[in-house]
Amino acid sequence: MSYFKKSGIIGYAGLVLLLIMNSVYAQPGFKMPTMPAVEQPPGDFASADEHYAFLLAQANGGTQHTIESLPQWTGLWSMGLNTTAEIFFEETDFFLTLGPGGTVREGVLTPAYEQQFRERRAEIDQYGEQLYDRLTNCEYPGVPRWIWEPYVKEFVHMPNQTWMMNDMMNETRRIYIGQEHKNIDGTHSSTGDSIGFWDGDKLVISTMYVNPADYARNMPLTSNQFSMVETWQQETDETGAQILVTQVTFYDPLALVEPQSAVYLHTYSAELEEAGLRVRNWECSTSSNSYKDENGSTMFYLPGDPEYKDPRGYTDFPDLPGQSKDPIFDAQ
Amino acid sequence: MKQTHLKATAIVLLVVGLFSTNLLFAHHSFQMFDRTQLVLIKGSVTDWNFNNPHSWLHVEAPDSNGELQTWSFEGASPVHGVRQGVTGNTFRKGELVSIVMSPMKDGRNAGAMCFVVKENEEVTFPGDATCNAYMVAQQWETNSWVKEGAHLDSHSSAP
Repeated sequence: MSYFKKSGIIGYAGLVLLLIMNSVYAQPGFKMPTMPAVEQPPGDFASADEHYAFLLAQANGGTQHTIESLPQWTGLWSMGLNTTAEIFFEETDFFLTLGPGGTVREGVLTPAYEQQFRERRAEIDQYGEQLYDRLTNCEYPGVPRWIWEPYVKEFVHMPNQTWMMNDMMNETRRIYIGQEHKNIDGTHSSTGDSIGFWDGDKLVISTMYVNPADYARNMPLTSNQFSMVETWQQETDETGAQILVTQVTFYDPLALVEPQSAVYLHTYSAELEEAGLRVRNWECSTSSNSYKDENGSTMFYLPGDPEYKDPRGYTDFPDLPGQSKDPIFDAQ
Repeated sequence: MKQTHLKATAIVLLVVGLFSTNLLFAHHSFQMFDRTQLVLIKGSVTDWNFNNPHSWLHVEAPDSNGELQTWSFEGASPVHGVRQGVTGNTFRKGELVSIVMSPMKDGRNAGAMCFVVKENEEVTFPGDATCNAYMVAQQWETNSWVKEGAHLDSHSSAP
């Protein structure tokens, strides 16, 4: 096992692998977090607006934090599990959202959206995966998918705004604290318009004016009438890990027969910080060479193709010293 | 601190392996790769792009006619690469590497990295979840398919 000995991570990995071959849930060192119960809305609300207004009134207008009293969700946070599968499948297995299988739950989505979801799932069952994802061409995940994307996130709280930043495509949500919804844009956007208030250390958010999107790859589409109410709160789970618990209720009169709720987790990722990871600007449009081909599947441009974009190579000034975008590697 | 990181890295490798047919960790599908087979490429690094949305390792290696060509291999995004112990400094220009990869279905000189053995025999895992990297690396090690294998050797990806 010569070269395995030189790879420091492998001895431990091998041991753990043997222990978990039969069940990812039952081996030392890897504890699947217990999912908190999904919180249903405290009433039947016709819209996210109505839901949010109720919560705001219940909190007596919300907690007026100062910069000193605001919760701080410092560091890098990674996506954890969520319960969205329980909404859209007969089976309550998160892993169905990652691949083939499962039975689409009838009557959750409106007929047109359910039909589309069934077609998507049929494709996944046939090919093992969704052939094309709209993110391939650098389209933003947007809301609600932003919550689910498996990259790292950072959070900055200020008395008048919260910034929720995703590594993926630099997609930042701005939550305007104590304000009303506004839309002077005359259109919708990927992250929409979000307002919020603090109820103690819990952040309550209302989001609307979002582009049509999806809950994730392999999952149903959302419409341009989608809106949602979220609550975010930092907690310590039973393993002692710091987690963010996000309770969400989705409103989408064009896609959902009635509002649906789910809970999402994020976990504080100290190991990434210890490894030196810092979030860098994501220049998707200049660094991605994947595209949708004539068969509706995903394909790459490769070096030598006229359409290929060298993510570190392009410059309008090749003869000028210091124009390389990869000085460290080039200097080796 | 180091131990915590190693444990976390190991767990990520394992979870990625368990999800190896459940590819949510990239921003596109992997239909362009033939994941039923794994091919060995032995070449010299020409570029290592450790950037989003995916890292790419480019090497110079002979094609099936013996002519030197550029081969390109997709890997994980930086955040997932770091979890697997890979950074932007993992590969150096001119370094000889052995890449085990799922080839493109269309036959072009490209593929999805499963694992890469460096010149110093260190095994690295820069790939996305296109294979069960740890188990595959162990299988190839057991059979000496990297050390004694020839450029363009191919084996089934089935365990």
